[in-house]
Amino acid sequence: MIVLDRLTKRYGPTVAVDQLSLTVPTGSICALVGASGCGKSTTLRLINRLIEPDGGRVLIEGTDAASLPPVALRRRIGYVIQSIGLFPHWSIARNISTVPELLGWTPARIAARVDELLDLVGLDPALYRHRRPHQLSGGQQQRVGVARALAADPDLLLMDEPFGALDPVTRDGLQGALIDIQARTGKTVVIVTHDIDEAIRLASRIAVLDGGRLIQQGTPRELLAHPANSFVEAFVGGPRRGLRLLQVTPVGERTDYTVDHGDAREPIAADAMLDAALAQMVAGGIDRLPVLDRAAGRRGTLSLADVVTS
Amino acid sequence: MSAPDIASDRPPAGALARLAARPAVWASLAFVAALALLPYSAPLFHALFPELPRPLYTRASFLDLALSHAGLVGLASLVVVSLGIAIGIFVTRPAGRDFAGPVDTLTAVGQTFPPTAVLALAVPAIGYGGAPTVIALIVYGLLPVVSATIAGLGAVPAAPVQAADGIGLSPAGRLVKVELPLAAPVILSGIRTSVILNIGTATIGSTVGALTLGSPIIEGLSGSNPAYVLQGALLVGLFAVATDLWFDELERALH
Repeated sequence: MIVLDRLTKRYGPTVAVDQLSLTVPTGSICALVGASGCGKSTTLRLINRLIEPDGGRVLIEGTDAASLPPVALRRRIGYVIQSIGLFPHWSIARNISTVPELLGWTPARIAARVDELLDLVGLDPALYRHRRPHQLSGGQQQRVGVARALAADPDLLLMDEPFGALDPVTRDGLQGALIDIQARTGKTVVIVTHDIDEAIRLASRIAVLDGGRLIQQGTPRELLAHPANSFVEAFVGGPRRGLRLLQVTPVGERTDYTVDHGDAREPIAADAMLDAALAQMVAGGIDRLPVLDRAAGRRGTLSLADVVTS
Repeated sequence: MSAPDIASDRPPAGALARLAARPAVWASLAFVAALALLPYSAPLFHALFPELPRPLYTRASFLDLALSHAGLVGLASLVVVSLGIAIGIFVTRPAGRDFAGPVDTLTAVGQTFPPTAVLALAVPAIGYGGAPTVIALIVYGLLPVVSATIAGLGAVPAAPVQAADGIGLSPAGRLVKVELPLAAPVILSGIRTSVILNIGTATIGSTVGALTLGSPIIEGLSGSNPAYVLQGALLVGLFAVATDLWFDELERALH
């Protein structure tokens, strides 16, 4: 669990981070979102002490980060940046093994870990182990960047706009990979992004920052359904907020289980989101869909009216 | 015995051919050949300069001159490289950043200051011979290495440095593992410039009693013996060209 306790950072007269308090539960993905200069990247860098706070504390699993040597602290925390920053003069394997080498792992353990990680991020070890970074595409490089961050099996992963420089298709693939990796490893992830769709897709909790202050935090649904003020409302989508709300609301919540649709049509899963249901209705020119709740073993019906009214 | 073992006992196929394709090898052979053959070239220089009674420099052997010359340049370069890179590193670290300006000025002054003047100042203090020559070469050769180190470290891309900090390399580890290797080609080109400059500059050491390939040149100039000048210049030129071509090899190996 990561606890930020009244964290403050000033640059001259400018307050970059202002009395920020935030708790990130173990095994969750927390997104720090906001406009450029809102202090989200500064907050991230305060966690692994790339910069030192002017006030407040960072507690990592109950230990004050300030009480640990910064270099040792950073070796325990994965770090991924937008510009990737692979070491161009080293092979992919050596890039990934940087931290394990620093920690004095045996060569055999390191080699096994490199292959395991390449598999995890979806790159064939036999094919990529010995390549140089410049021989990889941007998306592949960032996959290696993620592997390098995970190399020493840190409990915490910090990501600073990790997919911001990638094209939409590549970004989508990497977001999927991250969700998958997080589900399999249970890492605690703090990710900085200015892309609200990315935050909605990845994060279990979103913290909206403005002017170094925490404006609102909550689940994606809470933010979309009840934005605390006009700033958050504008940030989470303005006129598109309703459509995004459909992305985070499960079909099962709006389904009428007292009515079995009885249609031959392939039912939609209860844990799919409403945007998928709406898309099927629009594509099929229909206003009702059969729903299957596999876990509870029941069937129901979702009508267009249920989609739009809660 | 397996086949690869037998094969490894033979010289690698084509190794000689690859060696022969290198200009650095040819230039070095030319230098060695000139050193070996010049002592027997009296008839040639008699024919070229019939008006000179002694057209071949014999006060010291060319081999001794070359070894001493190389020794002085080597010693000076050793100091220049270690000191130059150390200075370059220091002024690009947070602790030394304030010294970047003054150091820049100082090394630039070192290079505009004529080496002959350094010799003239050094001799009264430490006497004649090799020592003042080495000092002059150090002062003269420092600038290219310092500025190349600063330029090379400054040109290291920001992303790997940022990543190195973020994943937990110590400042020293970051310097040794990331910054210096990435700056190496630029630093090496500075060392190359410095060493080549000093192979030529070392000749003036002979004015203060150091044994260098400049000795025939200086004596030839003062004694109106162009044959001596030609012999000294030929050897210094070949030495410089051969060294430069080896640096070329090294730079290519680095890429």
